[in-house]
Amino acid sequence: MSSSASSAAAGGPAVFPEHHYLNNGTTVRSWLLTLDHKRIALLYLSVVMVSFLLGGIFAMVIRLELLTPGPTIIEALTYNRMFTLHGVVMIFLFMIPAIPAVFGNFFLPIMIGAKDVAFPRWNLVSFYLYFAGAVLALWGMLNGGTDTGWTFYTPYSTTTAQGVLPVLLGVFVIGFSSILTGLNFIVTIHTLRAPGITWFKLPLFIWALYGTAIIQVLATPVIGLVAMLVAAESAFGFGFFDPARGGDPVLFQHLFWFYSHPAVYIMVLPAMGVISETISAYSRKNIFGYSMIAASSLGIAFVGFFAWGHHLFTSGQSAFDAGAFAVISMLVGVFTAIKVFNWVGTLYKGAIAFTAPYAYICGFLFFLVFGGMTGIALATVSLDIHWQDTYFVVAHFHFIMVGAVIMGFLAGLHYWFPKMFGRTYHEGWALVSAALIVLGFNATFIPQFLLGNAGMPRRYYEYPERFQALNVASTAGSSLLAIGFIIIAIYLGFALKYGPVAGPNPWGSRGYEWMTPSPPPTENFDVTPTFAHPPHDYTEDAVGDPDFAHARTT
Amino acid sequence: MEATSARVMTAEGYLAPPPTPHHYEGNPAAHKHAVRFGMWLFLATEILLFAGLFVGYAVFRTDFPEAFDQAARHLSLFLGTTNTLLLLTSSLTVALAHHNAEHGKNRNAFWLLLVSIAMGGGFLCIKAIEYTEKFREGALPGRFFAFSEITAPGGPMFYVVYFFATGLHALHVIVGMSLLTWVAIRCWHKEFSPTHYAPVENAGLYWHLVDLVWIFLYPLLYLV
Amino acid sequence: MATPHAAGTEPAHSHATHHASAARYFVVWIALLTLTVTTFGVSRIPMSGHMHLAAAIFIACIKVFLVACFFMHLWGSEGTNKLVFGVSFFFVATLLFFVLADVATRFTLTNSRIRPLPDIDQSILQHQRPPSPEAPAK
Ligand SMILES: [Cu+2]
Repeated sequence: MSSSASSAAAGGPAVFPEHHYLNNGTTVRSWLLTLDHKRIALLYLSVVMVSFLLGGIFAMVIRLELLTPGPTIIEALTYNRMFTLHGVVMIFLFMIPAIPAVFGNFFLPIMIGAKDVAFPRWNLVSFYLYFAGAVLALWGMLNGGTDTGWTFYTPYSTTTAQGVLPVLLGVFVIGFSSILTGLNFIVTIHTLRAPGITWFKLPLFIWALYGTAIIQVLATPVIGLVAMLVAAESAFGFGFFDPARGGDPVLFQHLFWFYSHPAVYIMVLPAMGVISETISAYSRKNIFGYSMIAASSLGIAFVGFFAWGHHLFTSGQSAFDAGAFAVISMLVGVFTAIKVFNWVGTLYKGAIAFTAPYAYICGFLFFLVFGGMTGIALATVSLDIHWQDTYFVVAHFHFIMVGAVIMGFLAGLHYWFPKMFGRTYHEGWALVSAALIVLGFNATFIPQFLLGNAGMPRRYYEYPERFQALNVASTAGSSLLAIGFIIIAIYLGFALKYGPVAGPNPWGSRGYEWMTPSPPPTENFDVTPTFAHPPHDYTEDAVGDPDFAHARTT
Repeated sequence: MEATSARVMTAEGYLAPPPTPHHYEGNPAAHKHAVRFGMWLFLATEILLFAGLFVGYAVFRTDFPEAFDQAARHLSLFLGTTNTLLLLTSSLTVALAHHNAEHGKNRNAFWLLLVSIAMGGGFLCIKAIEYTEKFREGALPGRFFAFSEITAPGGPMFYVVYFFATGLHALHVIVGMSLLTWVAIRCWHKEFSPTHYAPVENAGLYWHLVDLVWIFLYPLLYLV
Repeated sequence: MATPHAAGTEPAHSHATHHASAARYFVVWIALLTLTVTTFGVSRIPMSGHMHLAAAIFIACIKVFLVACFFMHLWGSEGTNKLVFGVSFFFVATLLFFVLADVATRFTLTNSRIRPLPDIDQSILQHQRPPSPEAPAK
């Protein structure tokens, strides 16, 4: 049955619980110094949304500037600052914390039947480090006018007059916050699982977060060191990365991408986890290939560490490394394909509810496959020489990092919104904005694939006349996107206060987090939960709930 | 972190351990495991932090083998070896402090930690003597390099690695000394007991990691 | 609320080694001092640079093993901690391997640094190339 978001669970009209984590303490202090993982998640959510707004504004400025071949609305130097701001804000301030720190913090303990994460104090410290780092990086970029791009490539970053120091320091501090989040998650998953939740009864979102956390712990320190080295070099001219003094700029790229390639999986893996959760909830069918999806999360986390050299194909890296990295990069595609096949297998013969999150699932699958396939193409050394540093690369990574990740983020936001705030949103508007966003993404970035293939380099302020039509199309698409996001902000903001009461389980989901009231109490469960069924178990006998259609498993 | 004053002294001569945090209620063993496991994960991040510098060493040593050979000969073997012995011995006293704290012998642990901190201080003093010598000679990184005795190209690169690696390590020594001071004070207040000694253990783990890094730095910089 | 329980981990007794006498720490310490003297002595033996490096790293690894296992109690600790320690060294090795593989093969496998092949009659190649480097490309 097409369960609209407003339909309450079986058993009469839903009642908003009297005591829950939102009203357990209402002072500013009770929010800012909270140790409750759910409140910390909301603190993260608020800062992450502001970052997304800022990053989006910067993106719109860039797209407007590229509307015409010559100068349009900003100067060349401002343009360089804009794409730096856009990159740093979107990657370090929005995408890396988006799903793990918001939904991970909120749902990880609930999904394993724990009262909190392992180290609640460090969790709060992690938030404030993130906040301080974000403020520092933003201030540094706006004040110092950093124009290096988010990659801080040497020698430009170590010789430019535009101050990079505060931004690098900000990145270092945010890295610390990311490490603490990952560390906390790993320890929580190991030590706080409720009785009966064995490793292979963990929801797939938890497996994805586990893979993510491993990357956060093992890769982030390296970017911390790189940030320090670049900062020291730009301040004192030590020459670590300066060939004139015997240094090696390719070494910078090695160290930088040792973090920044796995960082892509810090962003994508949690989104994949959200999709695993939602796809079985909305197709009302047991997840197909649970253990394969779980194992491929770890597989991606592992293989992702050995692929960084595909960013260095044209940087003077040796032919041996280029070949090795090309082959390993393609292995990532194998693990991703395992996931995609299993998701599609889940949909097969399911009782699909075409809700807004489901629309985002469809968008996710399209963006992931399209972005992934172009990624395989880019990992081919000979093809990369043609595409390196063109809009083809820009379009590719926006398909993965923006397309897939934002689809996952929005699917999670809509799926879990009733759980987090106890109210539901307007399904019609949600579907309209989902359609706008999926169409807008395609309209923005498919022209960029074509532009890149035709030879338009990335990060250029001006371009020849013949590229204008596609650039106009791309800018038009990005305004569709913007409208879609504005609609979401309006109806979700409205639903926060006036939305119909959701009840504990408006979707009839089988996820463990739906076995507690919405919003959950501070201790997460009123009564000790017994997780009798495995996660994602929609077999009819297990549910015994006549209100929802169920697909039979094979 | 914990309010020491609120806890009572037990008959054995140490403070009663703090209660298990509410989310680990009923399972102190899991909490103990979590604290130790968290520390090991943190140590993993420290190992990877230093990894970048070891990679830098490897790359520049491959590029400039002669300069690295000449520069290594200009480091003081005596001071480097003394520092190695100091750090290894301080690791012993920290391990012994942990052992004593675990048996509730807070006073012994306190004195052992004090000795360890003193050895850490000695390490830093010797490092300072070495640094002064390098500054006097002009054996410095990058554009500050003015050391005529290294004739092979790439001399400044050795000193970039040298100063970054030993500098970052010295920073860790300082942090480690602060952590040891913090647990030493808590030892003085007789806080640790057979069921509660995680702070000593974790501060000790941090100190041993500082030692581990030096175990690699010493031969790479001074010997080969 | 559920009672958390560390499923999949060994019981917390695993620190049995702690209750051994403190003498073991002195034994380890003596071993470490001996190894320090050894690594110093080996570095004075006339050998090739590579051999020196290999010997130094080998001895350093033994020392790290001793410190980690006994001072840091990794021996007899939870399996997860051993795994974390091992994995972190594995990733350091990965980073080292690929960067060194790059530096070691950057020029040998790249055409730019290989001089024109001496054994081939250069005149055969001449008419396949542009007449001279200064000539404008077609
Ligand atoms: Cu990559």
